[in-house]
Amino acid sequence: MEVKTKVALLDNTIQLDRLKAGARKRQIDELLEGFYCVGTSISLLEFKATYLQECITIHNALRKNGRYTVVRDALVESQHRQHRLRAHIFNNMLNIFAPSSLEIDKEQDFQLAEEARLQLENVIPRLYKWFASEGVHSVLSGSICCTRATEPPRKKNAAFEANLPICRKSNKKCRVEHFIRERAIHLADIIRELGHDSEQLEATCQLFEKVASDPNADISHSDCRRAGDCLIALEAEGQATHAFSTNTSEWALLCGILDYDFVRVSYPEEKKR
Amino acid sequence: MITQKNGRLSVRPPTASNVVYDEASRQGNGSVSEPTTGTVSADSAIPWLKSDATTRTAEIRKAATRGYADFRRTCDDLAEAALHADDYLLNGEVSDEGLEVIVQVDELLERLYQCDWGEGESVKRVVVAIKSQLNNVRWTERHVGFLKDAAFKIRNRYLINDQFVEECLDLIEAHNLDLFRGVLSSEGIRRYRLEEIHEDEP
Repeated sequence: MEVKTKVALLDNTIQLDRLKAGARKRQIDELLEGFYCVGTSISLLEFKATYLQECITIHNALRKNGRYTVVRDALVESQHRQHRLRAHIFNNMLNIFAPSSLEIDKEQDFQLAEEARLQLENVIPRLYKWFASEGVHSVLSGSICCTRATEPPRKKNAAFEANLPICRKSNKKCRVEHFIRERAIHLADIIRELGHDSEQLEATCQLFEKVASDPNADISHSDCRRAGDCLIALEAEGQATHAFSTNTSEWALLCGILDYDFVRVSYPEEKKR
Repeated sequence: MITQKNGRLSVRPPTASNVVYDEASRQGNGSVSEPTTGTVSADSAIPWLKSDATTRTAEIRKAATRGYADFRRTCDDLAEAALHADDYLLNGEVSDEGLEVIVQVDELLERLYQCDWGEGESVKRVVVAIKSQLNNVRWTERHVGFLKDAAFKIRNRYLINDQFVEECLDLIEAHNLDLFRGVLSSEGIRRYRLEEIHEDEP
């Protein structure tokens, strides 16, 4: 059996950057040359809840409103925390170029909206498959087995849904609470011992402590996403040798604890401008 | 009783529930008289209903035939234009003279988009998929190969549905093109810079 010596665990920021811009994609692909890339079930969940969810939001808005420039301007200018990701999707994924919204006529706007919507209908199901089978060499899911991660987005009669219902004992089969009590709580202890100044790590430790002390705890995917970095890093423990992320503050500490080589990805070309 | 379902008219024989009886005749010999108000009996309605339904069906069939004829004609033109793209390949790229083919293909794809054929929006999805690979990029052998295969594939298919759309998306990957293409490929980018020209320079 072939022993893989260089196994790269990809944080979700890396997966998103590969889809956001060509320059970033090329840089990341160069760094990953020679690595066996892995993701985890929580990173697939994160991908569904961010990139796919925003594609679906745009699709539903285009169907409802019908005018491309109106929807584009509203979604990109909003104060929603994912408005930058939406801009990337409009600029890069859709590849639909509209004249100025001050000049475009209604009919053209409707047609562009229809084309953009159909492009998303073509692409959304395949994006999910891309992550699970081409974006990485394999998805490690044996430890937590996130149920939401295994459910692809689906199209009903008109609208897409990301398929992210609130997790309850009745609709999930994952082992996240068990995983937290058996493994994640020890990580939280080490993080507290070492000390940190990250609000996100603090919130994660509190979540783990709450689950560990409550035998009836039943957390949902939003909780898992808040503790995403720790859960992703733990899911790959013993299998990954390197971890790639743009986020130093949490990942540098986690890599030190879990014995990964941390590879920080940055884009100096963008910073020059 | 006349009912309409899915655009088709059907006639049920009159029963006690759907025929208005004339009170006088009921009290008489017990036979059913012609209804005076309400539902029209089946026998008297059939002739004009039959011709109306036949006309409507004929109209639907004519529209479908016209739709398929438009679709097929456009596909034939697209396949022919795709073959011409080969004539303009130079060093692996379509030359500037090939712009005429690109414009022609663009116009034909617009025509195909408007065709009234296929299940739901399948034809439109196919056109959008093809355009997503050909818009705003310098055409190379891969793009021309993809266009030819897609054009002939759609030309040779009668039933255009979701399954066919998936086959076209598979075709993109088979030609090593990027389905999630949205970033400008390096072939398409040209760089410009402003240079100061001094007085003594020509």
